[in-house]
Amino acid sequence: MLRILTSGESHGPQLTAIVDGLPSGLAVSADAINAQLARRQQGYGRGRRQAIESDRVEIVSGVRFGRTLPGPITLVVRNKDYDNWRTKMSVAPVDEPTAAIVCPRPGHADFAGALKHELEDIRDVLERSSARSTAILVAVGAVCRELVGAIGGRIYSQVCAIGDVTARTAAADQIEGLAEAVEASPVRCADSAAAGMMIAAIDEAASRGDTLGGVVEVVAIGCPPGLGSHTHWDRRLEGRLAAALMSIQAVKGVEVGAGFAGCSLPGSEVHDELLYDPDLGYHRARNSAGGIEGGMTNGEPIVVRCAMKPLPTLKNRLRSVDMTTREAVQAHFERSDVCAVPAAAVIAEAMVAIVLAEAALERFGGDSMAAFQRNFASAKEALASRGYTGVRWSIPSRRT
Amino acid sequence: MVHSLTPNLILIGFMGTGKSTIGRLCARALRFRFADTDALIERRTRRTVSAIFSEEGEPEFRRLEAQAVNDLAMRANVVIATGGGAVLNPANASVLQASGVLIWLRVEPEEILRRCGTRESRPLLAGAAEPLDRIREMLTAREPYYRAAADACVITTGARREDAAAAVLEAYHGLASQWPHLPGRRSS
Ligand SMILES: Cc1cc2nc3c(=O)[nH]c(=O)nc-3n(C[C@H](O)[C@H](O)[C@H](O)COP(=O)(O)O)c2cc1C
Repeated sequence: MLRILTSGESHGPQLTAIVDGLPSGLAVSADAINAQLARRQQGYGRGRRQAIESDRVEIVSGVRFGRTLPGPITLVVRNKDYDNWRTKMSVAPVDEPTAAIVCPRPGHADFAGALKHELEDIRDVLERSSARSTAILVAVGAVCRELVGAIGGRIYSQVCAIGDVTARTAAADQIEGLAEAVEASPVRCADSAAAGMMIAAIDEAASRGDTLGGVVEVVAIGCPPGLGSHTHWDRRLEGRLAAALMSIQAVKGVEVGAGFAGCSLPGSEVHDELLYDPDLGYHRARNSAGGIEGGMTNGEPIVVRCAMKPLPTLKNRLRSVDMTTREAVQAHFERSDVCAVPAAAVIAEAMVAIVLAEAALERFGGDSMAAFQRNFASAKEALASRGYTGVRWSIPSRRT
Repeated sequence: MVHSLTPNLILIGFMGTGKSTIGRLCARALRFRFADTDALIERRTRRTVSAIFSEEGEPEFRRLEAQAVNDLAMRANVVIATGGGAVLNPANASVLQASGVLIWLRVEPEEILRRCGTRESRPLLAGAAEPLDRIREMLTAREPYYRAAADACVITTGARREDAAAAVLEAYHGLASQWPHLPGRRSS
């Protein structure tokens, strides 16, 4: 069983994750994790903090000579900004406490958290509710991605919309070919004309002291059929993906495959007819299901999209109430991004990697990577003997 | 509304974003004619834009500009470079949308200043004490209009003109097949 626990405050000394239950012998490298951390920090519309941080992982347990040990892995990402926060975030009591935050920011955890935990200082909520915590999840995702890779899975993302600008997004079977263009785009969008409009929309929002949300898509190509299960509500893969993706700060909706748009079409225009061909094996002419049927992967690319709300901290402050005096005030303003949709796409990839790694472990198991790979190879043989080859999605992608 | 099957290519954006230079390159590649609303006005009135501005005032210039936009929009197979203020008038924007694909050229204010200097031929900048601030101010006011009218945006800061033209053509070709029913158009 894969178990993951994270800790750390946004302005505390560090973020920490303990990952337990991965097979021993899985390749883990700080470089690969750092590459993912860097991707999370890119993207047009982010504030100054991304320049300060330049996140790096430290692997402090569970890895030896580049491979996982049987015991839990501990990953650490330090908050470089901590030096400026030593007093404000002091572990020991301080003589002169910094002024408490008492004006909740609408759209944040501030108000509900202050009531729930009976707090005088809203900082005690926002330090943990902040999306800073996604850095350590991206690090965990980078480790999980390696295991997903061992079953042939490759995970990509793209930004479909920012504010009122919608891109012509690449179909799932083209995303692999466009990956370079997506990485090169400051808004993770290969449609460069739309990307220009997105950047302009972000600039315009920034000049008004406003923020923007958007839509991101994650595609996982090459995963074998049968990850997840139809048998229980809590084992259905789309439910687990949705929970993981909805856990990302500011994500308010998740759709799979044709999603909400598919619901206005008749069934004949949605469902993906099953075809068979001696060379290709079983295959489909389209992928409205987004690679998941009955809570299980069906071998087609997994396609999930997340709707991200516009970020709630506005320079042009919203109305709020001082929780000590109950007077009408303007919400607290803390350094803030204008748009974090491109970063959310990278975080969404990490969450998909975590869920798929967990599902892969359930299906193929094994205490060591050698055992995991044996189990996977024999499952693959069984699939092939029943007519599923997966050739269309094996590396490199054959489809045009 | 009568229009040919191939949409025209219309360049919008602030002064100094390269609408004329890039427009000419695109016209050559598309085998379209090139037209420029300011040039047409100057030809018709036999006066420079700055002379019209200073002698007759901005409203008269805008009237002549609307006429030029209307006339050029009726032509087929043209690349139209519009004056920096043309699409601030919603009537001009919709006439142009019915004529073709609108591509917005966007450049950072510092580069706009480098490209235009405080040349006499740019009446709206002439005499500004802090030209960069003036450009920023005008951009903040105008960009929402450019964005509302545009079908695509190509950022040309630091780009070679050939590369900028290639990016414009790529955007044009990507949208031409769907025109006039382009995504994001509020009216069409
Ligand atoms: C990568 C990323 C960066 C974010 N940056 C900010 C930010 O700078 N300012 C802000 O107000 N919200 C930001 N958010 C969103 C808030 O963290 C989130 O809206 C808030 O914690 C409330 O949670 P909820 O929206 O999920 O209900 C960010 C979210 C993500 C995923």
